[in-house]
Amino acid sequence: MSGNRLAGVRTARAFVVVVLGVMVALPAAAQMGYKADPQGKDELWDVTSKMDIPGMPMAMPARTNRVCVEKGNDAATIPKNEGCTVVDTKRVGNRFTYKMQCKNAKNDYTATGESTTGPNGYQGRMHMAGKMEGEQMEMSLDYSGTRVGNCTSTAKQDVAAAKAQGEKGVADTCNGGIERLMWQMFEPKELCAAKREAFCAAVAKAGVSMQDPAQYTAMTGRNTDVRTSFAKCGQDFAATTGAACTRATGAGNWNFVGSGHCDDVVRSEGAMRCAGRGGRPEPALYPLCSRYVTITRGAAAGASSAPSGMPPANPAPPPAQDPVQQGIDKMKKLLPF
Amino acid sequence: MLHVLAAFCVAYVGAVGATGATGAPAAVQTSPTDAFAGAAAAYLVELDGTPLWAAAPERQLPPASLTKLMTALVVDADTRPDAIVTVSARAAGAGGARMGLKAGMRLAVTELMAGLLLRSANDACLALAEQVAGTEAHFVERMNAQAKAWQLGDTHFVNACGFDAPGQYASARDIAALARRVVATPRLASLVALPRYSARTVDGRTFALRSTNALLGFVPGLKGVKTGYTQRAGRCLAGYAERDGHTVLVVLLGANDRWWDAVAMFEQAFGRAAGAPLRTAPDG
Repeated sequence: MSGNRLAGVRTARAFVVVVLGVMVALPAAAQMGYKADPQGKDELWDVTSKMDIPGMPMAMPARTNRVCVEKGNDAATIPKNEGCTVVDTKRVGNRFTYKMQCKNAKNDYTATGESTTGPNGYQGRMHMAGKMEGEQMEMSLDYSGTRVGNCTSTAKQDVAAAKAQGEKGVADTCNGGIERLMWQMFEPKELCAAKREAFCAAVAKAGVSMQDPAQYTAMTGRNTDVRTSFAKCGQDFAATTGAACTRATGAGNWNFVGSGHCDDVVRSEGAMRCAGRGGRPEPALYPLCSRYVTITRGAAAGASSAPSGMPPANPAPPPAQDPVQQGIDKMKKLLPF
Repeated sequence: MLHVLAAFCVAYVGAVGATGATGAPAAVQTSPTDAFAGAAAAYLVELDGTPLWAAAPERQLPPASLTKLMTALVVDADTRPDAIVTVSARAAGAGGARMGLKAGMRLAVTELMAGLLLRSANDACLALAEQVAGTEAHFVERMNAQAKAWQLGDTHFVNACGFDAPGQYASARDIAALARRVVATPRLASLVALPRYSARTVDGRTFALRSTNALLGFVPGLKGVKTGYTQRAGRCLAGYAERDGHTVLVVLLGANDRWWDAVAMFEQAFGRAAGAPLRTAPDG
């Protein structure tokens, strides 16, 4: 890619990101809930905005959003932009001016603007200049507001509801982690660290319930690293596994015995039931005998390492991130606490 | 500006695609080692088409009914599956494993092919050979010509069905090549994967065929292929299985315990493909 082309792509990317940021941010107040209410103490406005970017071959369309703002709050007329902080405001008569600094890893620009208030509304213009998404850019935003009635803002209630919903989400996530014995969620500083005691109580309970082969299979199917969960809580996973294997062997549950959890049992039972059988596989014993020959013959028979001249077994690929962990990560980004 | 935006989108998506692409680690295999020493007079285990373990893979040995892999390939190439074959007296009198055909019976090639591949039936084998080439001797010429064309240098036939005879030999490596061709031929692949089949003559008589491959239905992902046994050849097996995008081909000639050694080979080879250690740590 040539230097000019690269610069063009970068500029376009900066443009897209910044425009989307502003356009999304403009109706920020509108996203807060409100009730149209003729007797309400707040003011309902239709705010129209239009972006002007020097050098753009086509004009951006104007957008109108209905917003409910606190009466007399001049700052409410300032277009919100992500990452920007209002650093100066001044009202002289019906003229309101302001200045914003927008600075983060990718942006470093200043926005200045003024709004003029009239009998039926206000109008204004904001000018932005500086580094946007790493590129030097300049653009303006014309906006106007028309009073359309009264309203009652429910923003505070909405914030409270969102917080409650977030807390419920965290609780649900942690409960899911307890149910699946996901130790990673209960480590210090992790999302569910405060529930570690409940987590370890669940692990202790699983130490008993997993002695049933069906429960053992279900749990290890849901969480392939349940062994670590036991270790984290000081529980003896080997004892639970051994109990499940003993129970499965007694019941002739060769599917469980041959599933890879009971290889000590497989060696002893397989030596009795499978060794020397050269005939057709017996269906009932196949899971046992299949596992028996797999861990006792050929490459597995000599040593725990690969035979001389063989490359080592490929390392196990990193496990796909657990959906619950993904949920935690998302929740952490969303929640303001 | 629009074309710049479009260029940006293309560049961005391209970058994501390149970053997100993952692939299986490249095989580090050098040459196959004899991990299953003593399991067979010769054997070969291939993982994803690459030899993994082997013993004497080029040794010329009697292949018994694994010969019929070539028989099936030649018949499939030279005859329509719905062609009708009239069983000769010579074919009906074949020894060893049989469908139970009588002279004069008429069957479609597909039905005889099922007998050939599932039951390893020698009467079906001879009937097909005669159908294709007129005589077994002429058919064997075609088999050898095909072996030469496919560069199977350790393979030679003197009969069509795998009877022990001087000059009837194949190597595990050559049998592996034939087995790969069979599973890559849809009509044959569908037959070798069947545990059972009911073959019918033109006039409606049926023959219940059960596959000689005892691993069908047991080894997960097994797609066939063929068994063989004669006194000189011993117990032979060619098996092919697919799991999670990986393939394993096992060939055993003169095996001591062909079923269970094959099971161990399949499981360990797929374990290798999945990156599993050869042994699991005991839980207890």
